[in-house]
Amino acid sequence: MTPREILLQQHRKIEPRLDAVRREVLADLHRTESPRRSPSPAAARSWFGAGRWRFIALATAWLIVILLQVDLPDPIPALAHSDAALSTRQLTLNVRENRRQLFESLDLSTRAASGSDEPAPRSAVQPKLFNA
Amino acid sequence: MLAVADIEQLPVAEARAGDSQAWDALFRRYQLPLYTYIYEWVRDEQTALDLVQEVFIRAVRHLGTLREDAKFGSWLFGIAHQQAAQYWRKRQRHLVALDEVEGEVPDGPEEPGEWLLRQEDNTRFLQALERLPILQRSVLVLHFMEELSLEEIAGITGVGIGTVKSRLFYARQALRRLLEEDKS
Repeated sequence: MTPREILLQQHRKIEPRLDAVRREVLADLHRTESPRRSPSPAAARSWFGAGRWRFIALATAWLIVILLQVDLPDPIPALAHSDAALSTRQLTLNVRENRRQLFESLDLSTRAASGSDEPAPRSAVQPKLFNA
Repeated sequence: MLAVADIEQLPVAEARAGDSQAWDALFRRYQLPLYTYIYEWVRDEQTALDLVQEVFIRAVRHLGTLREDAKFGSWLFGIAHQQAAQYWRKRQRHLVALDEVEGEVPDGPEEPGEWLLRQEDNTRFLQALERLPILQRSVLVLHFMEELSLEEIAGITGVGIGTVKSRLFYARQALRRLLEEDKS
């Protein structure tokens, strides 16, 4: 026997464990190599296919959310409506005040039409001068 | 001298391209020699297995640094030597210069069949080998295991060719003496 054969024979019993070590390293190699490889066209197509459906589902969900937002009553008017009883009196007072001011102005305009505080229009005055 | 690996067709180029079957073939070829070499340093089964695994991982990561595919075997043993020697140094703390007797050593090929041993001499051979200092033993194991050239062993162990030659000479001499002593 050669020294090589003697040395190797000495450790033959460890071979199953060395096989396990080798397999483990190769499995790791396979795991790390797989993600590095570029995807095949078929894989890319299927990914985009899956992405398309994901996009459609997401868009639909957002559309529903937007529609719900539009249909919901505005919370601020709801709060204003709650103290409507308080503002009715104010509104009545405002209407009365407006009406009073309107009458006042109407009264003034009728008085102006009937009174002589304001000078007569020139069209009405000039004929008198020519006549004199 | 032809190294064992030189007469084999090793799928190094395929491994370089990421072929896991090629890696499987390469690891299968070297797993036991690597383990045997590392075991000579660490003398513990589990540690040797862990270091073999580390060698495999490093080989996968750093194959790009290997310039010549034909040198794959010695490159792999180089990684194994680094790992084993590093572990050994951490454990030993003191590196004893046991065989650093640099000097002229006689040149000459080995006698054919000088190391051919009978089955019943196996244990005696292994016991004698174990008694050699680690620096001599590691060089001798590399020489026996893969029939590597002096240059290749120098590359693996990171020392000069003269040192390798010296270690190999004294290791052979010591081993021969030990075997003779045991016989008588």
